[in-house]
Amino acid sequence: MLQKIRNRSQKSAMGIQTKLLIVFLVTSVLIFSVNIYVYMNINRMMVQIDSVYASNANLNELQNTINRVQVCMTEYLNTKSSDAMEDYFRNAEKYRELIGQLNEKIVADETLLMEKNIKNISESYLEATEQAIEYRRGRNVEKYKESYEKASQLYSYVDVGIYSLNNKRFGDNSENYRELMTSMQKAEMTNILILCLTGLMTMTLIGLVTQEITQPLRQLARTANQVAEGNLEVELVEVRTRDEVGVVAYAFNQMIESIREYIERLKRSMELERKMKEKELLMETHLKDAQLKYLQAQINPHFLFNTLNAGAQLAMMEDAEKTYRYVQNVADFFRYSVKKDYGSVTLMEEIELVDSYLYILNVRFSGEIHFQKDVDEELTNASIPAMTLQPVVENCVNHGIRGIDWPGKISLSVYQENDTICVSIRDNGVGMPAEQVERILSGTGGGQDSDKDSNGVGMDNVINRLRLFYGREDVIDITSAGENMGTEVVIYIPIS
Amino acid sequence: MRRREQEKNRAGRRSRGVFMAATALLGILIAFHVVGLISASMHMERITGQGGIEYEDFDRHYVLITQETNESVWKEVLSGGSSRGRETGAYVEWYGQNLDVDYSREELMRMAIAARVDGIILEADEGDELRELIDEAVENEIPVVTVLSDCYKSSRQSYVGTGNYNLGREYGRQIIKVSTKETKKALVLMDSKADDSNQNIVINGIRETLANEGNHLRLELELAAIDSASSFGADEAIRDMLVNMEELPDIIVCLNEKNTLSVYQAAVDYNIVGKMDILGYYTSDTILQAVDKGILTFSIAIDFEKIGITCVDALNEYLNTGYVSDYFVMEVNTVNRTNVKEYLKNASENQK
Repeated sequence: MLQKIRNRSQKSAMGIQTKLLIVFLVTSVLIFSVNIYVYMNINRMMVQIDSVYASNANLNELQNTINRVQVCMTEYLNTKSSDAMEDYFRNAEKYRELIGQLNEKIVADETLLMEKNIKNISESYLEATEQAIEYRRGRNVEKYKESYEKASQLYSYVDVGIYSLNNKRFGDNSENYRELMTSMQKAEMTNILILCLTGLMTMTLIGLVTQEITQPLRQLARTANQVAEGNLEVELVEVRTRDEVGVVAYAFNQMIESIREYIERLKRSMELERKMKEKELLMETHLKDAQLKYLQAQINPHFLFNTLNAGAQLAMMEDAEKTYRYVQNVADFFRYSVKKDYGSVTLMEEIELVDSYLYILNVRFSGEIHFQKDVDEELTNASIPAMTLQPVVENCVNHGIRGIDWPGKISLSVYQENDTICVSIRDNGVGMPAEQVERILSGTGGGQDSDKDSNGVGMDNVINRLRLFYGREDVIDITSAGENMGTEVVIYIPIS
Repeated sequence: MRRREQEKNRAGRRSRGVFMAATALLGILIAFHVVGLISASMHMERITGQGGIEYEDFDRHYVLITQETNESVWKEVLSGGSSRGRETGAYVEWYGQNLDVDYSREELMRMAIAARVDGIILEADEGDELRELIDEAVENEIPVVTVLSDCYKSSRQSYVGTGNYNLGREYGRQIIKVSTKETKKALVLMDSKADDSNQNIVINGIRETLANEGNHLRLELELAAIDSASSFGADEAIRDMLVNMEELPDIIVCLNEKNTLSVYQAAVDYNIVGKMDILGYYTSDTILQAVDKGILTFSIAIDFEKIGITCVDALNEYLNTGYVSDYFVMEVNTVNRTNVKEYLKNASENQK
């Protein structure tokens, strides 16, 4: 069962290891990405800040280059040296390249328009310088001077233009720089905030997941402690996950339930045993009671036996057959009572006792009682409490047929009905009213037999012992058809 | 068994809850990153201008060249010209404003020619150097429109202004209006450039009007040249003049905005308001309020925005067709206490 659960959990759910791994991975990726993000942000900022003054640097280069052009031109005009000319052309070329990058569109932006003006004036300037050099080469003194002056003038315009643009750019850039620095500070704050937030969220995440893992463990431990203190009525552990803890919790729950079931079973069987013991004790008590009654009734049985035996031998010697049989029966009857002090006997032994009893009675009352037996010999091995049938027969004689003015009859039959052996004892005496039957069966009427001919064992004693012996209520039945219609007592012996 | 089912369900719900919470946290973080990244980059682009801000493109580049770079008059002219330029694809730049050196009109003209602009709107005068430069510009196929003061001898394409003679006549008429038989002296404040024929034309206009229409008056017209070349020069000169005068003139006539403001301020400062009539020029808020308070008797009102518009129109027309009328005369009005409310109302509406 557990193996099955474990397998299932491994297949369908994440184990603790996987969970922890995922949490670690997610948080690591988070922190890593946040760091990358922050780093990228700072990097971008740095690049931006670097680029702020780049336009100024470009303008400075522009200014330096036009300055060199002017110097080279002036030098050439002064010295006509080929080096100066070469320098002039190189610088002019470079300058052309540089102004090529300037804006040439007419747009509604002051700095861009300034660029356009600078570019156009520069082109005019370059034309003027070329003319000056050309005229100088052609030795046209008047013209080259004129061109030189024009170029110088334009140079001053360009110079001022670049200077002004540079100033303006510097002003703008300073503002940008200030803004950049402000936003850099803001970004710093934001980054710190993001980092803190990420840390907080990561902790929350880890907290949630670890709680998910440890909470069932703690609950399991709590419940286990309760069980250890002997409280088996604990609430079962809530199986929340299907990981290892889940498997353990599930197994623990199973164990608790098994223990509960086992204890329940144990309790039931103990109860049963207790009842059995109780029954046995009761039985013993009744028997002891019966025995006491019997012992009270008897007068030194051994002496009686010996006396009776002596009588029997005497009758034998005098050839008094009947007397011998009578005394022998009396001796048997009392011996049975002494020998079978308690416990169970076979049905056959009980029937023999009844035979003895009735023989004695018939001798005493000169054969007034007709006794008939109809016994299924196969059933006579059944167990039955000792001293059961004789008290019943005694009852028949004392209350049924004594004093009637017709011949008294007692019949005993043993037969089988389904899985029950029925021992029926019937008389043809005065019968018994229904109320009395009821009283006897409920154990309140049978009372002590105060008759001096009784052996002292009452009907309620018999009934109680039968019930205890067979462990059921339905052990005896008394029926009487009416006054002078006789009575039938049936004892039911279950075939075990 | 049922309880266990319930527990299982509850556990399942809780697990799902944890999962949802974790996912939500992740989502929030990622959203935070993305928003932060985008807003940061947008911010950066805005600051450094690398976001590729598209400026309006124009086909033509006109420049406005003036002697004064700070007068409201020119701001109005520029404003009118710029708005018309925007409609017609021309950008009007007040030339020299962005340079760190104060250049004269002549130098600015040279620069504009070298910078190969598409058109020049010039506050000209009859000086030779400017005339030559105008001619040079026109030779270089840059049309030139003179504004408010002309250079008649040059080859400029057109002139847009009030017509100085008309202006003089208007001044003259107003002088006659405020004069009585007791009025003896009217002082006209002129710019120190005595050779400026534009001013002379105005003076001529005044003189002729006085001679024709005011011959019943015994009015003496005096001229005072105010040196406006140096900074604050005009203001100082006017104050000096007013303080040192033995007798204040009955009427003082200002031919430009700056002088008007200087006289007005000096009159207030020296507590001579009401002792003379001050005739002003232009309709700035201060001047209108001065008229309203009665400090200025009246002021010349010219629609300078319209002048700016006309200049740009003239340049456009010339460049488009090769021809343009060489003279645009604008209306000259006067503001006095009776109609100043209307001007003030218009001014406040414009401001709104």
